Amino acid sequence: MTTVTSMPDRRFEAVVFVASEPVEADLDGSLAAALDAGLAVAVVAPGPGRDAAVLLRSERVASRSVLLLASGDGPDRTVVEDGRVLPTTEAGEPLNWIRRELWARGIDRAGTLVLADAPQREVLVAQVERRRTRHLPEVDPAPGWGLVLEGHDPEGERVRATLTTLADGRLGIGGATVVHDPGAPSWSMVAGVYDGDGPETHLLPGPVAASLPWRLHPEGGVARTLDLRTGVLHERALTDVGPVRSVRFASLRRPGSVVERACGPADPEGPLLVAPDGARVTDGVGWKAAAGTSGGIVAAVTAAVTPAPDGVVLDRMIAYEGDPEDLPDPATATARARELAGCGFDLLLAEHRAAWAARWEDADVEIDGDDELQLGVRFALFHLMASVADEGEAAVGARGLSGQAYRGHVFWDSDTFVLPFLAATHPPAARAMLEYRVRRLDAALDTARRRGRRGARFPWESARTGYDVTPSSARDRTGRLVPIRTGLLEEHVVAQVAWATSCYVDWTGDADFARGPGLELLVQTARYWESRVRTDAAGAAHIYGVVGPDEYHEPVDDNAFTNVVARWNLRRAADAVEAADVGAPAGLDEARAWRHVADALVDGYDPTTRVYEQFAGFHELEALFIAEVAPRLPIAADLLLGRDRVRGAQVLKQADVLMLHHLVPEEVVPGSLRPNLDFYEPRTAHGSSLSPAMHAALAARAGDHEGALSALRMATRIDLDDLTGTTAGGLHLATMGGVWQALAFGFAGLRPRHGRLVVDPQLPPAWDGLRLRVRFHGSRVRVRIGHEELHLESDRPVPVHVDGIDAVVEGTGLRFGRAAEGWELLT
Amino acid sequence: MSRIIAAVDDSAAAHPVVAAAQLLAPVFGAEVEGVHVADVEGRTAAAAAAGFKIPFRTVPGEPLDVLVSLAADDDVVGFAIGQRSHVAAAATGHLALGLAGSVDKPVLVVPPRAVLPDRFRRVLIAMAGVPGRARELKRAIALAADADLELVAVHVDDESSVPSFSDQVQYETEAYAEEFLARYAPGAPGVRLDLRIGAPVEEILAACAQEHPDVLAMGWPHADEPERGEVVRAVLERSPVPVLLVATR
Repeated sequence: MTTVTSMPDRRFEAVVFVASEPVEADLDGSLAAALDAGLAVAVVAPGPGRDAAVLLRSERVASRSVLLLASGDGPDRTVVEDGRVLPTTEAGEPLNWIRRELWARGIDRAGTLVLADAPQREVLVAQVERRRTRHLPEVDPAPGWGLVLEGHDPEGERVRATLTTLADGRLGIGGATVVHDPGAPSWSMVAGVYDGDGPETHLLPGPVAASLPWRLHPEGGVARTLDLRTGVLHERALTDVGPVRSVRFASLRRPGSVVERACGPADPEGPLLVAPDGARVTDGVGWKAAAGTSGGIVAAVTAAVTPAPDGVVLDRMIAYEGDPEDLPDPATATARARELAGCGFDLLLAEHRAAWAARWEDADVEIDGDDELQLGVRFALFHLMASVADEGEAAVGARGLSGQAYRGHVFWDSDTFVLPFLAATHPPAARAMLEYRVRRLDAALDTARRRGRRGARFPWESARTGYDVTPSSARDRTGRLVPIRTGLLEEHVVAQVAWATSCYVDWTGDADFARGPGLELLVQTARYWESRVRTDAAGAAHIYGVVGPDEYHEPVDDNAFTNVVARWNLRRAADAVEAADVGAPAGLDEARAWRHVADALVDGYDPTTRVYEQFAGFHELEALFIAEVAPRLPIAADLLLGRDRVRGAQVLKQADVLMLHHLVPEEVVPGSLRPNLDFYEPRTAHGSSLSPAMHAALAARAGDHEGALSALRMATRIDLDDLTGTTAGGLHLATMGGVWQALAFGFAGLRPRHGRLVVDPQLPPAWDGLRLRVRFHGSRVRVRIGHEELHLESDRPVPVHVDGIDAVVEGTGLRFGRAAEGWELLT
Repeated sequence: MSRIIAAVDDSAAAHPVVAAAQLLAPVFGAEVEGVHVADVEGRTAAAAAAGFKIPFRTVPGEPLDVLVSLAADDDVVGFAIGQRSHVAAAATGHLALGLAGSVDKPVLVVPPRAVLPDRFRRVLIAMAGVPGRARELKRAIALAADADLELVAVHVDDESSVPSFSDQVQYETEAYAEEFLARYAPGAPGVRLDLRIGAPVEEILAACAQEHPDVLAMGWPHADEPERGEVVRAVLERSPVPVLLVATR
């Protein structure tokens, strides 16, 4: 924030008055008007705290925007928000305090005007006038927070529209330009609202905002900036009739609400909403509905066109209602659209911005010393947060709310890769993901029963009903029709549901869930495994005929990954039952039986080599080091070498055994990571987009900083550089979850373990520092990792474990210093 | 009226060149003019033109220079030229490739024994390598779509361009194909995509044998990218149907 003495000719989101005199007595309602218009106001003046009560009474401040008052000569601090005076204990330099408070509401330095001894009333009136005349907010994201896409690339526009997807957990809309561009049409979808049946089930496309009728100028193009900090998409386009500026967001504060302001050369006229192609559409005045097989999506719109100095301004508010089972009532959407219009653009922007800032407060990861990676990481975290609802149930498809690819089907990706980030940063969203599984437990029980098993058999691909929707065959890139066996054989998904349950409980300490639906999930998945194993004459337990994460080999017997996660599942369920109260869904005898089965399960570990054999017979396959036959890595080895060749060779699609070291390290032999990494890494093609992030995490744990960084960088570029050629169909959400896991589990070494937070950093020399924010058992924990110092903070007492040291962190925190071997507690 | 230049030599190859040019002309909404680059009018060349009742002229000079200069005329929208050169020592299609590499206008290269239909109905658009290079054929696709031709696109990845990632096969091909067509065939909703992996020349010719197109369309790089022309050279050598080369940059 730079202090100036005259007011620049533009709109600001916050104004800070630094006054040598007390707050002006005669603001004449201008302060209340400014706050009502969504402007944040702060005052640093002699004794404002003493004047606050008088000021608030005289101005009748009751707005949702924020007023900050700081004493320039004392510790007084006052925050007024939602019409209430909030307690604050912070002191320190007043402008720094104000900067932090504004930042926490999504307002950065570029959006803040700091004025010294300025005429307060005039400034406020001028800023209010800019809002009354519908000026667009400026865009200048803070470093590391802006995804800037310049120019118009006809072939790349669909990818850009995906990269700039705006979503609120319930609704996703593409970031295609607001003006006419037939090469990148708009789209919308609502989580969990599907059309079709069986394998053909897909996310239902919803109505969209009609594009403005002007075409991009051939020599003009378009520039878009997605502000990741606030979830606002800014666009400047040069069209055949002149420049068009727009600002859009999908309100995080009010899910299902799209807010748009566009400034163009003339009244765009024409329709405001467009129905999706091929959908069963109904419409009425100001609304359109698309019906799916059972549910549907309704969008209702309000719009206002007002004159502006360089044309007109269009404010368009769209309220979406989606329901998986019934077509929503258009009246509900219409009423909400009117409510949005009543709030107005500026207040909706202010509350949306604040909601995003609040999410980042608990989730940001900061990397000192690698700006490109920093942006890639924030890009991933942004879309992870945007893709998952935090109430009800969250059906998180492979591409989230960013595209139709993979038809919105829910894979193990969501439980294994996406959920941990949310469990550790925004538990309600992780809980909603688990609720999706809980509500489909009956289908999983029925599936197991039909297959002659007990317990719950969750599907490889899930959609609305909870029954498997995996296709049975498909054409591959060589044009061959190939059988798809994952639906029948990739059973480790059952254990991943249990793993996700435990991950959530371990991070949150949610006892109600752990005793209730969480316990039910653990018990029913354990029952499945107990009924799935076969015991041989020697008493060893086996799981025959499965597919592991390495899908190049199918079917296989005793896949180490499947057997070990099943073993973990059985033991974790037994632990839970034994710790449960009377009335648990399983008894102690059953728990003992699970332990017996778990102990008998073979895992392929060879104590001589300390390597787990990926499945029975893997070591007899052709030894093949993929780098020696591939022109580059990663590579889809099944396409390069053919399915038959890879099936007969030691070449992996992605981490399989090694995933055990990442997901259930307590279930593998201590010290076995390095030998297994040495054995499997040269055999891994990384042909799955999940692979680079996992190997980044594993390499970090093994102390291979260079390998870890290289893999992490690739993971962050998969969508940004469209490395798969399919990003236009949606973002690779699991990869994004993997990016966070690589940072949190891999580099920072964070793990919840027995009610403590374990921290075991591996900071690459190329970085100056790494900072993470997580929530652990309800506490806000900050982790700052440097080469010589480790700093932990928490707003409440949190037990931590660092390098053999047990301690409790709270308040200003604990400092650990680098010792000869590991860390030592300093304070 | 725009023109297709049928660049003929004084050999038996002149006849199929003019015939193919006549089939190409409706695609562009053009007429055909026969041009023989020589100091003296060739009887065979002139007879071929006369047989199709098209205007014909003989122009002295170096063949490539003359044809390139003709391309500068705004009303010239394309060329048809024989695959074989009468210069015995020259490589197959050297003049055709030289022309395609020098001008921005499509060049139809006609094999000497091409079996030509009564009109062009089906075009096989062939591309090899990483998707970024496929945009070069967008023009050809748009042109063919506008002319209401049936379009089949074959895209061949070889070892160097095999995708880095392929997650779930049941969706990966679908997602890739959908995006490929959206990018490179946006104006041709009826185009069918045939994805292949293997040796590009063999796979393109195999697709040709399977699809029985009337014309094969391929991108041809300008002179500053000669290394990208190997597949085209090899296909030209063996293609049984005319090959429409589309200039790329």
